[in-house]
Amino acid sequence: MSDQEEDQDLQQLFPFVKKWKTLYAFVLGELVVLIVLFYLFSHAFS
Amino acid sequence: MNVGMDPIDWWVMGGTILFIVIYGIWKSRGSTDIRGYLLSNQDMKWWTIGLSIMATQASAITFLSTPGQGFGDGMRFVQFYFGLPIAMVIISMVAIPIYRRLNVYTAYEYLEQRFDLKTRTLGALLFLLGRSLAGGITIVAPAIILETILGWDTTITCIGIGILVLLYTVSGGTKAVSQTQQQQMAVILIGMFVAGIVMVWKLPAEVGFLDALDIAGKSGRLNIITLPDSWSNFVEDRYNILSGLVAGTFLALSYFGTDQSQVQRYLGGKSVTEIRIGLMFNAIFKVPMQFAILLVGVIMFVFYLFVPTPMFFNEQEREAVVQSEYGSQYLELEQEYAQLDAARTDAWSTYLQQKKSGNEAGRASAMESALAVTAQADSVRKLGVGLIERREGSRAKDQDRVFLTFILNHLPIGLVGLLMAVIFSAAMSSSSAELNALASTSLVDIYKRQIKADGSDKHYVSMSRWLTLGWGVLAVIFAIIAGQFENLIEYVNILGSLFYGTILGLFVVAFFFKKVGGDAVFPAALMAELLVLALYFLPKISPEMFESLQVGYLWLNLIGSTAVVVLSLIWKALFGQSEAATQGDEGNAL
Repeated sequence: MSDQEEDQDLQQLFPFVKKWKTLYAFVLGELVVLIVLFYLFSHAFS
Repeated sequence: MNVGMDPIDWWVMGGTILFIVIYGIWKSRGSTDIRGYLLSNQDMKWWTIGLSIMATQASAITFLSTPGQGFGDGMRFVQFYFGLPIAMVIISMVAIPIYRRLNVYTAYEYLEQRFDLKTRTLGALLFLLGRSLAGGITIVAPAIILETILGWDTTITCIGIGILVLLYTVSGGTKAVSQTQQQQMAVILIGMFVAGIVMVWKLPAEVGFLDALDIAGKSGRLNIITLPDSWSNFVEDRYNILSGLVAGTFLALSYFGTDQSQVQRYLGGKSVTEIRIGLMFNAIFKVPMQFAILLVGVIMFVFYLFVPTPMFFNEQEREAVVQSEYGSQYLELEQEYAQLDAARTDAWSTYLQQKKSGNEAGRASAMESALAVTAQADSVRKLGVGLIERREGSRAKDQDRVFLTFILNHLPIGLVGLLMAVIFSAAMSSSSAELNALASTSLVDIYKRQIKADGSDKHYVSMSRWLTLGWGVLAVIFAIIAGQFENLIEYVNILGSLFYGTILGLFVVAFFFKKVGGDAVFPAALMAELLVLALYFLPKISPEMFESLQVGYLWLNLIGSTAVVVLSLIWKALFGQSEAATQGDEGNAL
């Protein structure tokens, strides 16, 4: 299965996500954002 | 201390559990062919896969211990999960298309297509060994806690959990496991959410939610991001950001990518896309979920600052030390602790009053006093724990008792039953997945491949049911034996991670080092396993001589997998071998 076909399958399930790479970037980006938020949260109450 | 459950709680707990069991049997009826029984006819949607993966990982001890971890150690445990989203992305990109294209029933089946039969058998046996022991622990760990707090007989609880799980796992296979896990996960999430809300509601009137966070932060309980302060701390400490990101990624890769109890959850997915979305669902929600559960523990810590708190939450251990030669010393410490506990409540109340009055100097001084009296109470508790430790055969840990004690003493009638249903749901969800995976691996990788290759579909379904039953009976027997020796549990928990690294190494070579074949990877895996066992056991056998080898067990995954890769490359360079087997396009389908 090519990357394009995989992306098309994804769009059928979630039309608002165009590519798998975008979804993976979102997941890893969320992790980074969570780590930053956790850091700020810890410092806000320390 | 309240040690009983109201009849309404029994009805809520029993009704919830029975509903799930009956639903599982009904929903999975008619699984008569092996594809349906082991792969759920590959019809699972992403939300079933996602919840099933989550429910498999979350055992009862997760929901009993994690709030206790937040209570005693704060939030830093959440870092343990930072590697999970990274691992999910890697598995989604690399492993899923291969598993799916080869149409495998187990992860280890792929090892034969990529290497050879002996490597597949090695991977399957390492899994069967580690997971079968862990299966017993999944059942016995909550049973022991229920015995110490509610007085329930551990043996009867283990047999009860075993029978309930086997009822639907034997009859419906993978479909029954996945369907019941959806209900179990719903019960778990609702129960934990309600417990968190009630906990905040039960805080004294003068303590708002932000006040609770303020006190928790001042008491060092909101230490979410921590860095290792030295190299030895880096390798020995399980919970800091570096070990979470690096070692945590390897642990998650091993567990979600190569452990059949997880791999089986997604092999039954309808398509590659459904499987990947299920994995991404976990990658997105797992860390926030663990954060929320730990936060419940942190709020519980603040709650117990304002109500009388026992010095030690394990009542049986307390009774034992009181009856021992250290009894009078312990009772004296308990008295002192009770006084400090009351003083601590007053000190934190004063802190809040000063804070609300806007008196900055008064607030700072009150905070110092509150922290000082909290530290005093902690050191008296440590002395008490020290006395418990001195008694032979004691277990001086009580963090997994704290949340259940809170549930039984402070939750309203009905909710206690719901939270007990949470504990049983979690135990059943992970246990059923383990038994299902043990049966699949022993059927597909051992029985079908090496004993009887020409059986009918009906024969293999029947054999799978017998294997599930057999593994279930073994898990319950092991649970009952382990229940007699509670300290064994910690060692067996670690046992799993002694094998994970090697299994992951086999898959890393399979995926990324196409020129390395079975002749090199098999001896490399054996040597790597010996290395991991040596690193774990030598410092225990002779601490003076091998102190420098001491590493936190989380790192054994990374060491084991790296060793397999490096040793197989060296072996290939030294002894050479024929080109690796070409990855087939056809699965070794049953």
